[in-house]
Amino acid sequence: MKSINVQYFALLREEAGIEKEQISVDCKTYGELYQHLQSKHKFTLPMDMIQVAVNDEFSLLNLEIMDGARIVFIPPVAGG
Amino acid sequence: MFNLTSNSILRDDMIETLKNDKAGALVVFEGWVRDHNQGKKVSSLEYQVYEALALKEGTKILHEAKHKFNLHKIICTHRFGHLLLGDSAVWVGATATHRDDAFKATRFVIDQIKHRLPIWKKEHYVDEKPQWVFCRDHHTHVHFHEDDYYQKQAKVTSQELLKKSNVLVVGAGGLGCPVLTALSSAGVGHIDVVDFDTISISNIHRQPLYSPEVVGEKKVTVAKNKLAALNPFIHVHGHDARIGSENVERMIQGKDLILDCTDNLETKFLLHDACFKLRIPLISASIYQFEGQMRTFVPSQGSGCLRCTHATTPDDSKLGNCNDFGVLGSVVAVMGSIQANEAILFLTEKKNNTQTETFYFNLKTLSQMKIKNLKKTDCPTCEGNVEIEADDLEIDTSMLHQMDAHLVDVREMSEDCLRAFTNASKPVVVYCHRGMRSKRMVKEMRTQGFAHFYSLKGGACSL
Repeated sequence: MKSINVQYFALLREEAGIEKEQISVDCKTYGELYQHLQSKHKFTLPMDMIQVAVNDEFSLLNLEIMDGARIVFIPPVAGG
Repeated sequence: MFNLTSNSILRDDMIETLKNDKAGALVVFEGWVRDHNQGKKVSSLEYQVYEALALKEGTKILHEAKHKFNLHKIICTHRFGHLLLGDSAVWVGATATHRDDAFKATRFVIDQIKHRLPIWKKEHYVDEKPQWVFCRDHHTHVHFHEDDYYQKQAKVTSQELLKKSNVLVVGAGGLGCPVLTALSSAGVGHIDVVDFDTISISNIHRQPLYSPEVVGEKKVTVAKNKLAALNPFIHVHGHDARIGSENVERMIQGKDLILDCTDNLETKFLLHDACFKLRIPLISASIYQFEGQMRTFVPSQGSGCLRCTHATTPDDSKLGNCNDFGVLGSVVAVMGSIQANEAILFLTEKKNNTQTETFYFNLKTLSQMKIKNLKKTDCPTCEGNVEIEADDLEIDTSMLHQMDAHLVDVREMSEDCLRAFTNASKPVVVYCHRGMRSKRMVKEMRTQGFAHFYSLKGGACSL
């Protein structure tokens, strides 16, 4: 089990109904974690539209989850 | 200097920090909150930002711009929080000695911000519930629906079949440009394009994916970006390579259809042989002045192949190419469009017009001719018994850098100039403009027993 902090923005924040949560999971990769959270929070955005940031750096969904990481799933952006 | 702020952007202060007597140009881009989007009346906007990452990424974008363009300074501020109509949401300013760099850098930064910055926008409307604005496609962030893109072709083709299709276009030149444009905009889901050439000023009159400002860049890179912008709903991949015996099978493997848009017989025959070996359909087109010919090869259909009529590959030197006989943009545009149309028919209906007959078009007389293809009985190529012969005549630039060799430019030299090197103690690497003529010259030297001659793959274009 890994203990992680997940933070939500934009649509994900609204769908989850929370800004952040600290959870323990036994998922292997960030992709698996997104799928887990997707079914938990009924996220509507498919995984191929999501990027992941770990400790404020862009990362990859197929990488292994770091214990204690601060994780943000990033919906498509619309700056500007 | 990249900033995020929840307060109004102070234009005068921004400009003050950019002042510099060496700068001859200041270009400013300002993004405003407007009152409508996609038919809805917008009343205000709410920006949410992932601050730590946005600051890092924004700073990175500005560094990239400084690196890419010749700037004195570039700065940017992005708002977050609740913004009202007319508010400035983002401000980018670049100073440079000359205006061109400042214009380009400003454009680059705002485009990158749109793609990369973790900032999200919620639109509040006059008559409807507020909504997070997501780009439907993370490659381009366009706010359009895929169905609308193809709306006008829905009655004439199967979008689903096109989207599933996976094709390789060989050559991004005269034929390649119209073929790639038509296939991309029709919605062929996966398009790979392979070409080794760089863009020259003499390409542009017939290759409308390119323009004078990209002279010197790789065709595949520019073409890929153009096509991805043209249709955000497909996947385009570029391969900077020249098709040869060592890579042809790997390149065509797993594709539904190959489009031969090359300009020389050696590559055309190589592609053809490999397609028959791996049983992959191929549409091949060629141009000569106002004339063009086109043929579809479907190995499983038994309507003959080029080897039924040509046991050995005809020599390119006897034919010449576009450089020798001249070519018009209008002619390649017509031929490329017909080739793409044949491809679309094949991908959606498994049937097109050029499988059993070769089509000949003459645009000078606006006439056409169909000739039934010949099928030789017991043709081994038709059956897939094909040997792709390894070719050791060429070396590439990376190999060149590792060897001690004479390098001979034969562009302005006669055919027999290599005689002077028959007794050389080191290998002799020969190159011409694109490595076609030099390869023929090397082949000739090899047949005379001189094994130390090599041709540089891609020619001067690859140096």
